[in-house]
Amino acid sequence: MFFRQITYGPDGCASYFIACAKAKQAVVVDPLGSVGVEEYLMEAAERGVEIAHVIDTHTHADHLSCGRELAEMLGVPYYLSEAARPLVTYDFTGVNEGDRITVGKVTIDVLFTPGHTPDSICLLVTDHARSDQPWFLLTGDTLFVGDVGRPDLLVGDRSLDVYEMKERAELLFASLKRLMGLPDHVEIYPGHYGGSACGGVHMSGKAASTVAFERQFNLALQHGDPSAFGEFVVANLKPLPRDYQKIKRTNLGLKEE
Amino acid sequence: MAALQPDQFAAKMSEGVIPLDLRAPAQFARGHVPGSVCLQFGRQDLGERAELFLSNAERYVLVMEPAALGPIAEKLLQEAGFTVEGFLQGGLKAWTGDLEAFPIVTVAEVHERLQAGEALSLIDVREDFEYDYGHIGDAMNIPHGEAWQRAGSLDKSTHYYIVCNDQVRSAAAASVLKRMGVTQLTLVLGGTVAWSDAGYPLTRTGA
Repeated sequence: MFFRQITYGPDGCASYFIACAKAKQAVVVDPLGSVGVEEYLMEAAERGVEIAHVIDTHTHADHLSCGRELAEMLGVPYYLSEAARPLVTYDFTGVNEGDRITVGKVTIDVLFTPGHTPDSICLLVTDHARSDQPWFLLTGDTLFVGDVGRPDLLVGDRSLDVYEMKERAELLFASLKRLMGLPDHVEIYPGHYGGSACGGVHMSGKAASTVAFERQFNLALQHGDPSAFGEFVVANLKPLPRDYQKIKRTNLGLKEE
Repeated sequence: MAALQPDQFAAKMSEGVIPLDLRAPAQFARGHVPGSVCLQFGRQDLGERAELFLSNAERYVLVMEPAALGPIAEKLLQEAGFTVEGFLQGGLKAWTGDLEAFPIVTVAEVHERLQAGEALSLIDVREDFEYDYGHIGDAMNIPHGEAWQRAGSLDKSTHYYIVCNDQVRSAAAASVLKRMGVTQLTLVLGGTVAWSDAGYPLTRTGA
């Protein structure tokens, strides 16, 4: 398996390039507009693999995705949670809980984990060349190292937001509880790290962890009920990302920039 | 940066300029401009690998996909001292002339045919120290950089199966052999790594 975390430091954003070294096929997750499609194309070209799938873990509110651009350029499917269907203006390949995307010996299982957004998914990656046990989890903006996704990035339009902040916090609590049921050894690779405004003040600058470490030491995960969890998360947020409503609307296809 | 239309690209080829295809070997095997040499792109090491494999006395035109990477590849090769006279605008998709392809075979099929007693002429194009450590059957060794010089000594009526550790150097060597007139060639995709992974034994030199 090839694995590369492609980051953009100024925004604390992380994207992922995963490929089967034998099948010569790749999957790109959460490609960053600020990095640009060329970086992902170059990564594929120099590893001699073809990008077969492009996935966004949710419609982002803090940065622009180049997922659609990359998929269209290559003529490959662009995936979002099916839950994004009523929210966005463009077409995509919808995925649901339990769906599996395969490149050679590598499988990517979709976990539907709403909370940060109504359309958030996590991707559980298994390299069957190593083991049939899952190896790592791409957590998007649901779980970060040391922190969790924020439930308050609303655009102020109920039809787009779907849930109020409190409902989002409850959904996030349930989604995180489920992730913490994964085996201890599963590694966590988040969509943000460090100074990113997409989480709270406890977000680590180290963009990798494990389920067991987060279960034990992530402060947001030490609460037994959704309301205590919600209060803790809201009390420890960072300032809202600049222009997040504008960015969110652009990623939803409502406004081109 | 010179973006070439297919007719301009073909005109360069007829002047003796070598088409250099920087796409992945599997893509190259599926279809390429006749006479192309295959050398997989690499941001860090394209120039270095080109120095080991290509003559800087020749002139080159490039085929790259996605086409957006054409100018980047051109710059990397020029910085390494190669004469690059442009790239095919729009990549291979834009090519209007004939295409050629390479037959491919898996290590499982090679193993099966050797087991069945077939005498396959295998050429291992890795470096000699790699070859000595372990190669498939009684493969001969022609390091890929020597393909240009040693093509003339090969029997043109023999069908050769080209192997490296995976498929980057085998595609490179095969493309050169073909350009030099050795035309009966098959690529063994996955190479010695796939061979070992499948649990097949390698032959050690002197063992």
